[in-house]
Amino acid sequence: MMKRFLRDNGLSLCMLAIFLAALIGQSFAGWAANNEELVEHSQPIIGYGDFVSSSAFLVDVAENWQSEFLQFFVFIFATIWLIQRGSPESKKPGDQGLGTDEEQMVGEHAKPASPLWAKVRGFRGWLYGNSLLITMGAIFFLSWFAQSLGGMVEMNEENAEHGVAPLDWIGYVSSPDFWNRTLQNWQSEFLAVGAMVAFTIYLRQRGSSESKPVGTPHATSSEEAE
Amino acid sequence: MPCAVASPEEESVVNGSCGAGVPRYGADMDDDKTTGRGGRLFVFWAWMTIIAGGLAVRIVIPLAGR
Repeated sequence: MMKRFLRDNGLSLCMLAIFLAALIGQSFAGWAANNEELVEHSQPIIGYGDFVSSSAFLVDVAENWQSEFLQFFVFIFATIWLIQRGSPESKKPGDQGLGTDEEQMVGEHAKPASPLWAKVRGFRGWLYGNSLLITMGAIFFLSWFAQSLGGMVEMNEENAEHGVAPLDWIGYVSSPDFWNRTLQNWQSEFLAVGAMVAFTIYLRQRGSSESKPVGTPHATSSEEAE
Repeated sequence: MPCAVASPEEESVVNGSCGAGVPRYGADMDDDKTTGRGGRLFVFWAWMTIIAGGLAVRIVIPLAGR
């Protein structure tokens, strides 16, 4: 039973394990770096618990989270309306748009095993039909908000040390620090997604669902059957 | 080369592979209503809980001024 669970869910469980390992690694490395800085400024070092519950750590986590979820939010939305001929990340040319109810298997076109909310019309049907984009968007905006709060507290601690007046939230989200943290993450996400879309036209990884089968012509997109 | 398809469900195939391709969605969809449902639900809610918990912590702690 456990063997079957691990086999059936290996992809998400593997990602979960390496996420937690990386986050724990980040917390220890960040704690050490933070204490080095405190020593340089002749201040007492802080304990691990104090560091991981400090805004200094949380803002670093939040700024990376927001950009990752923005990446998916933008990519999910963009792939509704835009195509890249030859990329397995794209629908085939001509398929731009929301698709018909028949293609989407909603309402009277739903199958017996379709999700319940795919079978109903109205608000529930609309909500379920957009639930992935809505969830990714909500996590992005909440992470970005968390980044702004953590960044503000961290900046104000620094300002206090230098005798500078504290910033309020509006002041912080208009500051270069907030936008520097934000855009340095956004640029890397858009770079990676764009490169993935373009590279997968011509490059292959045998066996990966992110790649076309090795012998697929370059002009063929993921769902293109001919 | 056009695909020789037996049914509308098989028209759209994974990764552009033809003929031997697995039907993308539809034909085999009814086979697996319950197999591994507990596991799928577990991983879905595990991710949701971690993300919601992480967000809550990162919003509450700065609001508390730490």
